[in-house]
Amino acid sequence: MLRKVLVANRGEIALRVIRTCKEMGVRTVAVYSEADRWANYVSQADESYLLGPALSRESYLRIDKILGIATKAGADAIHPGYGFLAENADFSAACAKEKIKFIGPPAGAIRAIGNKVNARRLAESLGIPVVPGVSQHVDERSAMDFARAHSFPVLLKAAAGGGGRGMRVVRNEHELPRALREASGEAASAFGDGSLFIEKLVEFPRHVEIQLLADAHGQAVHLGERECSVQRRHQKLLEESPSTALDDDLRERMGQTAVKLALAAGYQNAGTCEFLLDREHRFYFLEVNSRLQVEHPVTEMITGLDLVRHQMLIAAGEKLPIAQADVRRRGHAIECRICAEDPFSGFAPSIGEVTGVRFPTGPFVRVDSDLTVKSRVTPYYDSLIAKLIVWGEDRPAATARMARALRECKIVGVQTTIPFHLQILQDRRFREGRIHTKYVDDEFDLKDVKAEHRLEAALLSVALEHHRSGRRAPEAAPQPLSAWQTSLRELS
Amino acid sequence: MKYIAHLNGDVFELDVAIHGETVTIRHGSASHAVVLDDHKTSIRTAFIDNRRIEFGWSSPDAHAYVIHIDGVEYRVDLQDARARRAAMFRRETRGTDGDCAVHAPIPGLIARVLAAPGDIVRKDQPVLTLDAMKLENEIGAPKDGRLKSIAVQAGMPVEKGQILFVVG
Repeated sequence: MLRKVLVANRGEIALRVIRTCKEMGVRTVAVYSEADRWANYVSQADESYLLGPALSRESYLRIDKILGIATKAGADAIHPGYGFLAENADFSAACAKEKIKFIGPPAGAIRAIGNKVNARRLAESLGIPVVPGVSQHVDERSAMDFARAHSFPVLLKAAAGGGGRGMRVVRNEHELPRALREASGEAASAFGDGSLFIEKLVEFPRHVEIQLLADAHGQAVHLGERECSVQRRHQKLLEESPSTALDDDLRERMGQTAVKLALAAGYQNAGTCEFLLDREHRFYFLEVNSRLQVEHPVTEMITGLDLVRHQMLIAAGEKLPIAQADVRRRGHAIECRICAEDPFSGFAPSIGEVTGVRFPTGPFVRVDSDLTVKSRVTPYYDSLIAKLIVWGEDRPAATARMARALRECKIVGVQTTIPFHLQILQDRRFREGRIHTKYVDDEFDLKDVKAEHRLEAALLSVALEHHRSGRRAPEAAPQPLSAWQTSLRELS
Repeated sequence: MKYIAHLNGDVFELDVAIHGETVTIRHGSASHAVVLDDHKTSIRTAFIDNRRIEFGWSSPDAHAYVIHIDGVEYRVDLQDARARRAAMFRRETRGTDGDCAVHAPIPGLIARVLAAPGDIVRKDQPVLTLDAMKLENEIGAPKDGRLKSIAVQAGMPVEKGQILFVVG
């Protein structure tokens, strides 16, 4: 078994990993940048070491420094969390070279499956459906042949670039010649290359992913799906399981597909297989994320399995203690990502010092967050400051519980996305489960509720000013509580 | 006591009176009773007209408040009406050279004249006081200089923008 784990990450995921380590009796080493010196996760670890300046490339992305600390501290394993170095094959290889266990897949598996092109090729060779497409230059005749074979609509894409230029949706045969000319012209002027690829357009797709666990002994199981279609500009905002679009049969087919791919790639540890699901419930393989996901608690809530614990057991070389038939799913779980962003100003980052925090509690509510009073939300890292996860007996119960928990949640000092989540939960389309990856961008109208409590805010300010200005006993601005005072208050 | 509250471009004029622990705040024709808890924490409760409300607050600057209600952040700048007028007045007259005419920032009644033409005055030295909305506003010299003329006398009503005096 592992004795001492260095957590090569920060914030809520570092704390998440440290917590499971403690429960398993494994010692922990935290690393931190200058911006995170006073972060909660740093003091929760048994040991902590400064990595360097706030910029990630000077700190959390420095393989050499992290390995140096791991060696000095005598860590026998490194957990990379998500982001930063989590899917870096070189990091995994460097750990192996130093005889430190990387709590994730071996470098070879990351290369085989983490690269989209390689993964797609592997999937095709296994007969796993991918979004049909031709990755070589098409002319009018080959494009027409493709479109007839796979049916319209199709998507023309510039071979040389992205960003929507040289891209055309074609809905019928008549549009095709002109769309080809236009897209090719655009691509030529934008990228100096008019070559076009063509693929089948999956309209209104859902993003559904399968959680995997694979050990070093050729065993792999899937833990069901997570529905991640509630996203804004490709950023996931809310995840849930089960998906309203899956029945047991489809779940099992998608799950077995993911397992097949993992075994073929020699995959080890926790991973996620992402699929697009079209309106006819056909699924297409997208990519594999070779790490623990932000939204992994959703799966933990419905399976009762601690994924980090299983990651550690797998890394220690143990056999998976569960077979596919042992995996039980129960009820419904939802996660909301609470970000320090202003949903009423185009989700602009909200930077500042957190002066007050009160997280929701009560039945079946989980909060994964490193936030405390006096935490500073800095521009250096991700704006995710808390994950709120709830479990309910069914989807309506989980939805109602999440709304309750969001209302209990108070984060003072920065604007958060809580009001956005409250509105999503009330939206008819969401409630009916009629969502897809463009649902938030194209169909959801965020109601600007900023005007709602203006008068109350003004009245409270005046009352506070009066309390301070000596009409009553003089009152100072709230002093941030020390950590132990805060804990006492939370306990009481 | 009168306050002007600025909130993201909106302005509320609020008139405040204290009755025991209740702060009574008039806004237009409506009157609201606000009772604050006696906690010193950043998350507190209050009653507004007997409706209980839980809110977060901080005060990044004097007279500036950030109020959180239902997950939405409101930035409130408070000025008492007197300070506001003084500030408006300073804005109007700041940074001028040569003869500097001082205009009435608001309509009102000249209460007292504190200097005479020909006097040497220092910047911000009170020259006269203007009564408006039951508040007395001191109006001072915009810069060091000599008081060239005074266009008003005590008891005289003035319109907004009317010349009061000139400092050269």
